[in-house]
Amino acid sequence: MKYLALMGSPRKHWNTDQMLDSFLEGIKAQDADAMIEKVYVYDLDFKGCRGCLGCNLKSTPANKCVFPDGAVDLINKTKEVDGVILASPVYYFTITAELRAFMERVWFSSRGKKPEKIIRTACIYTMNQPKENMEKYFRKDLNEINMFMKNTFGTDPIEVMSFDTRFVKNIEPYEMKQEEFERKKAHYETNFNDDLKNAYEEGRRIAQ
Amino acid sequence: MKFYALNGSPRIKWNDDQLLDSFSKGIRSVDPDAEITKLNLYQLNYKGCRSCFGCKLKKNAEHDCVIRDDIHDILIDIRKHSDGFVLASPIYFLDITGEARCFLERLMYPGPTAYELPVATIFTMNAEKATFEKMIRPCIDILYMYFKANFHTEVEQEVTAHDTLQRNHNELYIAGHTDHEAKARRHETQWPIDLKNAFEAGAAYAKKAKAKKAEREETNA
Repeated sequence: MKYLALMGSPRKHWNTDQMLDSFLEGIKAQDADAMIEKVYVYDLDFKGCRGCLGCNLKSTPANKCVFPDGAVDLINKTKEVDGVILASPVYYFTITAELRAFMERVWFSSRGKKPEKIIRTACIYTMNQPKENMEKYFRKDLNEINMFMKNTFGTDPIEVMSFDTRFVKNIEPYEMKQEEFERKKAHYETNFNDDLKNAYEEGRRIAQ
Repeated sequence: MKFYALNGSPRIKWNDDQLLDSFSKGIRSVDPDAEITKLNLYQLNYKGCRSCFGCKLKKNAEHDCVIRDDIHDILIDIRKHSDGFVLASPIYFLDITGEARCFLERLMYPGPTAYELPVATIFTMNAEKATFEKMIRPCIDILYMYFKANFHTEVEQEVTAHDTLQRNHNELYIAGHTDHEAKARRHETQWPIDLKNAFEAGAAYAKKAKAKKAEREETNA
């Protein structure tokens, strides 16, 4: 089985990246032959959908983005693999704008046609907010992302979350509230390992 | 006065671009000398916020964005030296475009501006007005909440254009669910009205920005 993992956070080796790696470890534990490609979306040279309508031309096969840039091959690859995994922090109530720009092209180019095979999906969301605020303020927005994934790939995404994540290791150079920093640090020390473990278990589940 | 007109659509000379130009003409009908910098965001080289926290560093007293790319100087100019901005974007997947969001992440993450920055918006979409209010308004409300938090302003001028024309040469494209012939017919009658709405919104926006500027100068004097 082939998996494509899209790392939609700008911060390498931080919370989202670690959650994604743990999820991918779970896949490998379940399926030793799994072929996994992980991509840092912020490293790609691309823009969001240009509205060129090239994907809607009669001369273009279904499920193909045609805009030639640093993302087009990966965008088209999402329709060819067996599983697609998104990982993103929540910025202003939704996934990062950079990942959104990438996914616009994945979603638009499907032009209402699902790929010919079942493609498994997962969405890993990390956020500064505690769970109750997610439920109250942006559950709807994340549901919309999940819905666009289902519309494109035909499967409900496995959802993995990590809440109340920490921003920085050392507050000293930054203008931030000491109290909030301490609270987040304590939360991190108590909870983040469990979040990683959960991501690992969900990774096993997608590969079953 | 000095404004920025941000085209968050990838399509140059198409719907958003035309509405934005009409809005700018409306501004000039109130202030003929207005300096309006128009930016096609898709032509600029930048990414969304990198969460580097450079803007939160104590040694960065002004809290400027520290990422040096095409929009670095623009962000600072909008936040500290402009009288406001107008953002135009098509609606993609119930939201403004990813590139428009990338720009706003960078514009907002440094935190509240030093003074009220009047903001206006232009949205174009396939959706009819009723669908927009039901499905897309909640997302726009969130955007406005963040505008309020960071620019101290209510968005008083909002232009929306619905069921907009997508393409010419229908014969080249797959049929799909959309009746593009009907869109073309609607465009004939509705588009001049949309352009006029944008012009009038531009004029009303300029009056508000002028009043805010006068208020500011009085406070500073």
